[in-house]
Amino acid sequence: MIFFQRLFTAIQRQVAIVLAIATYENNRKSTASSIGAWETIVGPLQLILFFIGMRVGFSLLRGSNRFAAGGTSDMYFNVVMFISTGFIMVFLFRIVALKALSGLKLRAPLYYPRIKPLDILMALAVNDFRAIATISLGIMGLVWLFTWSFQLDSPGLAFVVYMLTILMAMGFGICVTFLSNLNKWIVRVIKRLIARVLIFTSGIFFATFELPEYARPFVTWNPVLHSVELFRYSINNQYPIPDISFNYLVCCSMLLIGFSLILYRTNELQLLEANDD
Amino acid sequence: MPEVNPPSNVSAPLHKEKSSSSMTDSLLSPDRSAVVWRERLKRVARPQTLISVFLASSAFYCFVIGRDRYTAVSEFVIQQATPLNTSAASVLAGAAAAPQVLTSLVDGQYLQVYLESSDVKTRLFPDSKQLEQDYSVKFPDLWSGLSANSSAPQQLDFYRKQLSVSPQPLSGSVILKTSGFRPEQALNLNNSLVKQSRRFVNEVNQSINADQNKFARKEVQLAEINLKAATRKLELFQEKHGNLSAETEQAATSSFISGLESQLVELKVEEAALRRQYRDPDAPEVSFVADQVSELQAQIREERKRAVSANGRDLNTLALEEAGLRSDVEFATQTLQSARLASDNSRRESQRQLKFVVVLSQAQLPVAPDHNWRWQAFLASVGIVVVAWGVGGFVLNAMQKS
Amino acid sequence: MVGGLGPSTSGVVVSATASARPVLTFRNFSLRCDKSDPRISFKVPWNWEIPHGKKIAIITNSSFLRYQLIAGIAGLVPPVSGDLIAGGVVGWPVGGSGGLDSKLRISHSINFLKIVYGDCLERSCVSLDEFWALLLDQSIHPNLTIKELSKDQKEFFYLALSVLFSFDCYLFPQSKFLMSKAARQLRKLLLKQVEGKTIIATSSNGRFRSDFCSEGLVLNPYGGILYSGGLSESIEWAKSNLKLSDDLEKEDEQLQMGLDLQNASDDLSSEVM
Repeated sequence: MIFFQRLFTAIQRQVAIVLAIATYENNRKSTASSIGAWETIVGPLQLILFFIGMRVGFSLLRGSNRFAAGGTSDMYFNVVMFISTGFIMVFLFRIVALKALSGLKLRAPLYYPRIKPLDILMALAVNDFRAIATISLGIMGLVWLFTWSFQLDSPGLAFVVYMLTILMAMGFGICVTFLSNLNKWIVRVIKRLIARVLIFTSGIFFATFELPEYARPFVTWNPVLHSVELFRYSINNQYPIPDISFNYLVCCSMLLIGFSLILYRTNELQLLEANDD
Repeated sequence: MPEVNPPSNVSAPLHKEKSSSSMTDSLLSPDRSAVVWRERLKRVARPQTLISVFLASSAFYCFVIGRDRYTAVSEFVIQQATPLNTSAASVLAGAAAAPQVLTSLVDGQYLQVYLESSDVKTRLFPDSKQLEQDYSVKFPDLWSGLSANSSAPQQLDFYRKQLSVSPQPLSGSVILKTSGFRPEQALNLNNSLVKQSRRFVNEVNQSINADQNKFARKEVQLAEINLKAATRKLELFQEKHGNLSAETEQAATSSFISGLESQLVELKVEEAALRRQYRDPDAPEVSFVADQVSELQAQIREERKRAVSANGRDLNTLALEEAGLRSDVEFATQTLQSARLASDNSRRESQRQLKFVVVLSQAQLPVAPDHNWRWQAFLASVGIVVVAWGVGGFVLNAMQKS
Repeated sequence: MVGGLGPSTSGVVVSATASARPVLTFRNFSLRCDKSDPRISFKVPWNWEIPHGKKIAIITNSSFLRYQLIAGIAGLVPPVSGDLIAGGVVGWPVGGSGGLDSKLRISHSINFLKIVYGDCLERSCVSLDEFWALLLDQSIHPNLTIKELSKDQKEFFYLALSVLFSFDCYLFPQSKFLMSKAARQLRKLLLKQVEGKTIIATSSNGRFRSDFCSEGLVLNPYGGILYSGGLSESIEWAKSNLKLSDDLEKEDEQLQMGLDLQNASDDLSSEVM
């Protein structure tokens, strides 16, 4: 019983510390620039609007083709909704993973013995989650308002997938950071991969079922694609998700986070090394 | 991860001390009790408490109070009879399969709308009282179920919640899920919905085919009538003009005239020869032939005039008229022929295009309640808290910039 | 999260059980001893412990060792080998100016530390009201950002922060401001706060040593323990055996961080594809 009490206190303090660091970072930002803490969402928002504009433009050029062979994603989602669901998940992953990868930028709080690098990482993840959640809620709210059709078929699944993605991103980032012990080039290559390959294989622009069957294995290795597609599925249960499995996502995120925690225990300060190009 | 509000955390013991000390004081004056209550209210209204209460009540509802729900699933496909010319199918199976899937998908989408329509609802539950009774609210769980005296839109809404039809774009099959508060309820609903889909598919197809057939037959009738009219006109014309063909008559006349003309040429040659033989142009032999020539010329002129003049037989006009009538008849015959062909084709096609609901997997009687909704609902409330915390925290933080 | 649960992390051990254990336990503990060569470390690794309530003044010639010792115990530099097991809350170096970003407001910083060291605040004998009153005396308002403070105000603020919390172990790398006139009130409060707590001081200010410390520990530049005993005896011993250079008195050069603990300004969110 005492053990559980201690565990509970420890967890409670841990959470409090992480949140305090998150507030610290926000406060720091809020006095730093004129737009204050909104700065965090301006960057992603720009990008998502660009993507949506691009996609809407293309579909205007191409003409809507609702009943192409096998059907298209337009049958299940509004274009804006489709892109933004993909974007939300991919950027959540990308931002969190890159934060871990490129070394902690926020390191002053480490001066206090209680604060560990992982705390800061989690705090930054919390902040990113908040910013992206704000964006996504805003966009979905707008879409729902305009189309007047509220749909969220499996809210539980959406939540779980969202959380798993955050975990996976952190685990991935930390793992790769420790890989950089072996070779700096690995990190550079992986950073590039995340930035570019990830965007194009994670289904921001396409749905898995739109791909022909032989092309699917080229993208389904990517666990982020699974989280994107599952998130879409959880919004609309009619959305077909061939070759997408929840188990794969769970396995990936658990493996990554487990590995990363093991690695983290052994060499904590590695996270402080900047990996900028 | 519930909201942890550390400042209030820290101050919690202080609050407690204050309130307990003021509780002993409350016996002394009535004013104090108001303070105590305000204090208590303040403590209850802390976000941490509110969130815990929210989550606890959500968990309590989802896992304790909530009624069991049972789900029955069936899968079927709307299949056309295979095309007659299947010889190439083995080679081009992929290409041939796509349109098949596509038509099934479109059918599935129609079916989806149809099954969720109030038409089907009234067909399945003609008596709305019966529906209310079947899905009535049971005591601990006052949330789910259909309350007595519900309005028609409410009932329709409730009915729609009990089923989900999802056409699969890749296979073309349709997955039908139904839920109910009892296993039999789910199963029965599923079975009767499959029956409804079968009826829908057959009815629609048959009515379309019947329409097509009717149209084709009408076309044939029309063509027949036209043909009859054209033939009749031709007959009348022939009767009126001596049952003779104007054309042949015209041909006969012209050959007659040309005969006369050749005779005229012969006579003229003979006359020229005689004039050389006899010095005297007025010799009786000569004048005899010359008379014959002039007579013949007059005769030819007469005949020509008779063939084209209006008060004569006017063979040209008659011939044109007759040709028109004949082509009318010919056209009507052709039309009738093609209409018959089309009608026959449509009859055959409609036989071929008949669609069937092929049940791939029959719904089974659910043996255990479906726990999915409990988790979905509970995790949703956790999600609401997390998202509200995330977004709220962010927005509040961003706003208190100054 | 796992990082916070392990026994080796100093901060998260619940204080109720802390008194049973020594405040600091060195196990095969060894630190760097030479500024230029990272391979040079303690000749003999430390294997001893510091029980609760000891107030130790560390006397050594090597300023690098002094710095390493404080930073090592505070967890700012990793030990070359071995572990340091904390049986209580080890505070950050008293008056240390790291940790807070200069863009933060005073209120932000205090709220932040209030959460991170909340349990230390509950045990503290300085109340928050008292603390704010002290700050206001120096016209440090909660709405100011740290970079707007003058140098004296900054030093006062950082020292006041250290005074506010009650730790099990205090580290004193320097004492110049603490022993100055401006900090008289803080000094009084701090004396009250450190009663019964452990102190490790490398400051060589004589008045500070006599006020705060009771024991001395003389170290050679390679971490070897030459003498340990009462404060005055140790100082005497050091005076006679070590060639104490004069620069000890002006020890209060800014503590250089072993790790770069500055917040980097560039941010990833601006980086596009």
